[in-house]
Amino acid sequence: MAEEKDFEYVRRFINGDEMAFNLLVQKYQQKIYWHARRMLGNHMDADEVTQEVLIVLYTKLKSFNFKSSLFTWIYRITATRSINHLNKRKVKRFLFLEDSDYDTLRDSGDIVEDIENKEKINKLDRVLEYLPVKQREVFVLRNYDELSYEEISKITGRSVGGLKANYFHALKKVTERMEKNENE
Amino acid sequence: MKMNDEVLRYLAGMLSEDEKKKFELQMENSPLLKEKLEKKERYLRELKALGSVEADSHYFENLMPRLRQKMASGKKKSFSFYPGLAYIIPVLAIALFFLIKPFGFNPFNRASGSSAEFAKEVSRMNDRTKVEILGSLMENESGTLQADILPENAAEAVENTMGEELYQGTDSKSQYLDTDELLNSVSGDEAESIYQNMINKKIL
Repeated sequence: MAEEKDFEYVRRFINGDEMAFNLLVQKYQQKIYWHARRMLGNHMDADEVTQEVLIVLYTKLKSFNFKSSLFTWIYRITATRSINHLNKRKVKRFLFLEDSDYDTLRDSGDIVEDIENKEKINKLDRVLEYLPVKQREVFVLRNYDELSYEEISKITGRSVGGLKANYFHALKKVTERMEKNENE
Repeated sequence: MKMNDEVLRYLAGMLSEDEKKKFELQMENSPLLKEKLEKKERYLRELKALGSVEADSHYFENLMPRLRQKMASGKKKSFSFYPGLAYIIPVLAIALFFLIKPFGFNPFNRASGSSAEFAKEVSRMNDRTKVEILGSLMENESGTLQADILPENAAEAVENTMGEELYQGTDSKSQYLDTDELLNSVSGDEAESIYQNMINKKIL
């Protein structure tokens, strides 16, 4: 049902109805932002990825083939862009090309404003940053986006068996981390 | 340790139907196992709660107008007004390349297969750097890295950590490589030999 509605918006957009694109953005923007935010750990990078994804969506939607669900397609773009962004950041850091005031900039204009919520999300970032990229991706998609292994497999193109193994390692690391934090 | 792994396998949905039933039965008779499961479930609930935060809704209300503005300004910045400018960047890049080439720098060395150069660069790195770069490669290339590029002890460490059963249904152990585990188990020399294997197999 939801899929049919998405397809209807896509068809309307292809036929020149710009409002249909706005409706799609309204429907998916939060999912895109929060996935990127949990993957990247800060507002500045998540905002950049969200905008990138929406621009890709706008420019490529006309070539959407209706073979997979729009939901899977959007998540695939978001997941890939988030990982690319993380890799770019890693390379920049490695080559000392990262802005010296990156740590100050990364939280500027953050949409999580009050201290309690900020503390919560920072605590989560501190746990997730221990996970290698692929484990973090599976952990975020399963725990926060609440997707099944089959859905994640369609998004990432990885096998269900491989995803389970990634999730196993992610669980091991985050629960060890939580235990350590609890005992400190 | 084994009990912990069993609990994690259960939570990760890795047990077969039979194994799952056996685990649940075992849990009924083992308060310790039950306690371990409940503790891990609690951690997961806590983590989930940390992820649900209230955010400023204006951001999402303004996202679309910001995006439209960005797309409009992006169009204006194109070379449509000055078609000649479109050629300047590639021409400058080519000129720069030929200017710096005589000084020994060739950014295409690796792409054009100058593996010996790369191997020489690797041998000059300190052990920590070798292993760190390897870590990045493992994450990006895990789909193409096969267990046979690993030194014996690293492959063993991977097996000990994950257990053979995890490999079932795949012909590539690399799919399940845990980068952290691997990096903890290789020395600088071994990292160098992994690079060499990657070069030989044309992964690099």
